[in-house]
Amino acid sequence: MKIITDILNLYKERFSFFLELLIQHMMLTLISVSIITVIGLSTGILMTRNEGFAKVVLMVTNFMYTIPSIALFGVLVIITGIGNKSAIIALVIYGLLPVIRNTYVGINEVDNQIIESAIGMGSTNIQLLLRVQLPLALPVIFAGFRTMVIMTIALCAIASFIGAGGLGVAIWRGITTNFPEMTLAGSLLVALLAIITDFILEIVEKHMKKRIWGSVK
Amino acid sequence: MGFIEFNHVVKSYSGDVKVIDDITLSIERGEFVTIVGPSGCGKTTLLKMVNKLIPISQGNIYIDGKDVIDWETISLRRSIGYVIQHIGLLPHLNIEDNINYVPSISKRKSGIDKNRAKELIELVGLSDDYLSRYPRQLSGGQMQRIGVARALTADPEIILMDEPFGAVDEIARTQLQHEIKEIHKKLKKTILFVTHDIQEALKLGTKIVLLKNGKIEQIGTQEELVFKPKSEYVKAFFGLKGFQASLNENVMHNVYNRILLKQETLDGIYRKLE
Ligand SMILES: Nc1ncnc2c1ncn2[C@@H]1O[C@H](COP(=O)(O)OP(=O)(O)O)[C@@H](O)[C@H]1O
Ligand SMILES: [Mg+2]
Repeated sequence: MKIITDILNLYKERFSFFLELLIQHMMLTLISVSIITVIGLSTGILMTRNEGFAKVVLMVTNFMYTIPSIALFGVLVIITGIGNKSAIIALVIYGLLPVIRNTYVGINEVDNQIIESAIGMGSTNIQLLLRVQLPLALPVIFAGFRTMVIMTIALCAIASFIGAGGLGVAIWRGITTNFPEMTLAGSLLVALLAIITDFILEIVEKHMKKRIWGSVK
Repeated sequence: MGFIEFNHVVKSYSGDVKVIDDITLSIERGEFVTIVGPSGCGKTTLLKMVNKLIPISQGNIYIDGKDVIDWETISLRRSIGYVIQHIGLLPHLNIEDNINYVPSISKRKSGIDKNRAKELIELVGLSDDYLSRYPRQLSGGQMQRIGVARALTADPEIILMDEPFGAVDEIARTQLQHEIKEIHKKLKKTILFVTHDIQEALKLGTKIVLLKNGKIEQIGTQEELVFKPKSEYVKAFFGLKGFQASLNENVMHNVYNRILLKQETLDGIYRKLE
């Protein structure tokens, strides 16, 4: 169990180093998550209004998923260079699929009879979207959001390979300087960040389902 | 010209099959028109063309003298109550907000009258305790009552109902039928009511329309349809069920009570009838 005490000592000695990486990691995640949410939601909504567009988007996003992340990072380095910018672009590309898909599916799955009566009562398109479709699709959309956030936290660790900040820096440094405790210390923090975030989001999701659907189905 | 006027209305989807085939029909203000017919004969289609949920292929529908084409769609819909079988209550809103949905989407925000929901929920026979509940906490019959209340909120002159009581149990249905009849008497709305239930159509309608394959087979009062059927089809469609529905309920009740009290026997009554 020496390794554990070694890691704990490392946290103690290099506290500010790890704290800074953790904050960077959270910031990178936060920025990516915000961009993904805005693009993902609007794309998903537009898809429900146009089937042709929906087909194309689903094809493209599914294809993006088949590209290994390392390859994507490599390509981006060539195009947008090394650093946070490329990292964020890559994170956004990866994170979009679950949000787009769940927004699209969530809205489409809202009961047709509810939609029909809302239209029949004189809702405008935008009222239908904001007062009926989005609120009722929210639990599904949020499930996609949760998947995306956790994925982004994990993937962000790899982003350091192309010179971005975050906890990946510690992992990377540990590997290159043959310092396994450092690698483990970084990985552990990434895992911890992901687990705690997921735990919080899960509570929010359950609460939301109960509130809107009346059950946690 | 009637309040609602169908003038040679035709609806066809792709091809030349006419789902609604040249319907001309005039409805006066305050009438309770039931539209009955076998499944697939075009009842829902006919109804949905009134609030422009389905576009008309040929012909015109006039409401209050104005072609629905010329009515601004959103405001036309807001001024027509609409109740469907699956109710379509909004599950994420409580009953009060459901009842107030139309005023809440209308421009006049001041249009939400605090007492209106309370008034309406009592009109449909529920206590105002229900206002703060959610649709999922209500039974099917109760939800349907809310559906009716919601259709009345904006005080529309016309109410369209598409098999509104089709999914509730028999006891609740009988009560709801009774109540909608009372509400009609009280508020004098013009109601278009689609059903495939023969007795319901005859019991509720001041005018009954029998549809067959998108055409009006016969139109008239309960007595006309049951006792003066224009065709074999009409006669077979209403048949004994139609006859039962046109029996006077008070008289039947008396007969029934007399048998219960052994003042008379069923056989004795049959003998008298022969
Ligand atoms: N979107 C559609 N495309 C093609 N046919 C349709 C469509 N909607 C309804 N129909 C047809 O129109 C006919 C009448 O339907 P509907 O008005 O719903 O009947 P009802 O309400 O009397 O049961 C049916 O034969 C149905 O199959
Ligand atoms: Mg129908």
